[in-house]
Amino acid sequence: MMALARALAFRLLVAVLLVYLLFPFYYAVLTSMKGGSAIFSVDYWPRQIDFSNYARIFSEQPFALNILNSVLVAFAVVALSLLLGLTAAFSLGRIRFRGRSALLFAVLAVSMFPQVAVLSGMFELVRAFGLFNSLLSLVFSYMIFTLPFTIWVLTSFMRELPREIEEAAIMDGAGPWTLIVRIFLPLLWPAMVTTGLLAFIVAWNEFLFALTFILSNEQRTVPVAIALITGGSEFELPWGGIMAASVTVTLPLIALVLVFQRRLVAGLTAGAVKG
Amino acid sequence: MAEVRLVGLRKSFGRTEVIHGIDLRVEDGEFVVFVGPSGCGKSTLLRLISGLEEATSGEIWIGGREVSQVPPAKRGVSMVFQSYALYPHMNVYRNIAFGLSLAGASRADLDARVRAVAEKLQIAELLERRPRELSGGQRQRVAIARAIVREPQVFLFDEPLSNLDAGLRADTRVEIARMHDELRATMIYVTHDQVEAMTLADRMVLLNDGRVEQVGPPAELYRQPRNLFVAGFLGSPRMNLLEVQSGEGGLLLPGGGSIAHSGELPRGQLTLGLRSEDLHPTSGEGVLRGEVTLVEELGETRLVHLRIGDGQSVIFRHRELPGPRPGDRIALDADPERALLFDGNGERL
Repeated sequence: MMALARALAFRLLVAVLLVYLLFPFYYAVLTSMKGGSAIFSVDYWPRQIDFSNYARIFSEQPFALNILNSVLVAFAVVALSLLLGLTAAFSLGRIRFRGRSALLFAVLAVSMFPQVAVLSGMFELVRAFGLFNSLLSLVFSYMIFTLPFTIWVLTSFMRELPREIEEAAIMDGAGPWTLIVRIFLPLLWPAMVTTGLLAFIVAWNEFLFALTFILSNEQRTVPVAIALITGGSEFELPWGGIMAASVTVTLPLIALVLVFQRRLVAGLTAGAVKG
Repeated sequence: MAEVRLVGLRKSFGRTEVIHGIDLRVEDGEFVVFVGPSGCGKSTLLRLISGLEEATSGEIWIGGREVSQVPPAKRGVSMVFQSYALYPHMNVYRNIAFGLSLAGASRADLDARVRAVAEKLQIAELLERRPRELSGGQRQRVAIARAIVREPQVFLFDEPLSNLDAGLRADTRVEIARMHDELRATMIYVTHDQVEAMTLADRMVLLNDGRVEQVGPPAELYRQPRNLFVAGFLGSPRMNLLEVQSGEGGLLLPGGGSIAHSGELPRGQLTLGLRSEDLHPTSGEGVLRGEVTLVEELGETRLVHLRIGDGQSVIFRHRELPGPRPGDRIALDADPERALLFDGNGERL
């Protein structure tokens, strides 16, 4: 009897948690399928399945182009972050040099500033490099978010790898690049997937830089494009369209997480126990 | 195959010097074991030869070539690591082939050599497996195969058996000895285990605190240690070391016994070394007398601890049955020829 009550209480707790986590997203999906004044009635179950909001966001603005921009930026950020993160982790985790830990903490310190604090300085840099209103400005600026944690996570994973494996490879004639590509890359793969996915999410959702550095609709990324969706008049906020767009851009993230799910968990827990 | 010669080799980490100028010659085809307490620099010395550590000064000659500026892979040496250090993400075949493929061996040549080595080490049926699917002994074989396949002039072993359990360790020890007979390669082997060192070595190099204490065949180090450190390090149980007074015609032992000594001896306090197997119970007066405090049964023999007064005690090996019991009073005779004498500086006389 006690056991049954306990099991029930546990299920209830899980149910509450799930509702708490999933309700906002569920409500967004619900709203995205409503049209006109139905938006303003509070419903908890779908009354109609109407995809016209979805169709409209693609026809009224270059939303497909915005998605493509986001994909390009996010993949470029992930690829560059992982490349720089892995090579930096190799030197920070494996090579003894003066000022190594100072450098490591400097990298961490970069991520402590609020985004607004670096915005104007970053704007000057972007202009100086002639990247204004170009997707490259976003790739360039997003690295200040992604590199610190990429470097830190990969460095700590790198330190967990037995030194003798590296030394065996050196005895076998491997140079630094062979070491990184043929020994460390495969061994750090779970950590790379985890950090890569986090970097992807950061780049995919970033708003402030994307709003500041990009001027034209055709160059915009998804978060800004969604925020700038306008209704028929300046007094109307097209909630249906905004929700439809939000749901659309969340789906790729969910798909990515599902695909890499097993790797992700392995990456998050690997290194906790020596194995 | 090649000889290895170290000339005035020094190594410092920061300001701490850990290898204090070592000169050593390892003959072609010889099996030399570096042994010593932990922290004595034996592994560092091996890593200097391998090239994984760079010497602060001195020369390293391998096969008539000075290699201290040559990268590890080009020195003609292979190394077997303590943890085997197999590449976890490669199967056995690729583990063995990795070095060859980096050296640019042709595919046919590489395949033939990998398979030949695998055959020799009886791991041919494991080639498709990953290291984590292998037992400790199998991993050890793969590590050795990886070392052999590059056909090095010199093999370096860094405590290769310390991760194996006792039974497998004895087997692998025999196998390494057989491999040495077969390949006739120069081998340098680091261990802290003196049984491994004594059984495998043609010559042992006993290191202490970054210096060579003594070099020689195992029996020589055991029977004629140059100083107290060597005498105390080799042998289990440790050699009995007694404070003795040298006087007219002999040595005065604690407890009143004496040993005749023919040669010239410095007067005063000396240290007498007697191994446990060189002390025998006697029904007569003996040279040492005391009370049994502890008996360690080893089956075939037993180690008897004897308190001989002055707070000193000795351990001797007792063979006959029945063994003594704690509290028994026993007199011991010593082999005068086997006895070793050390002066006040710990050097053997």
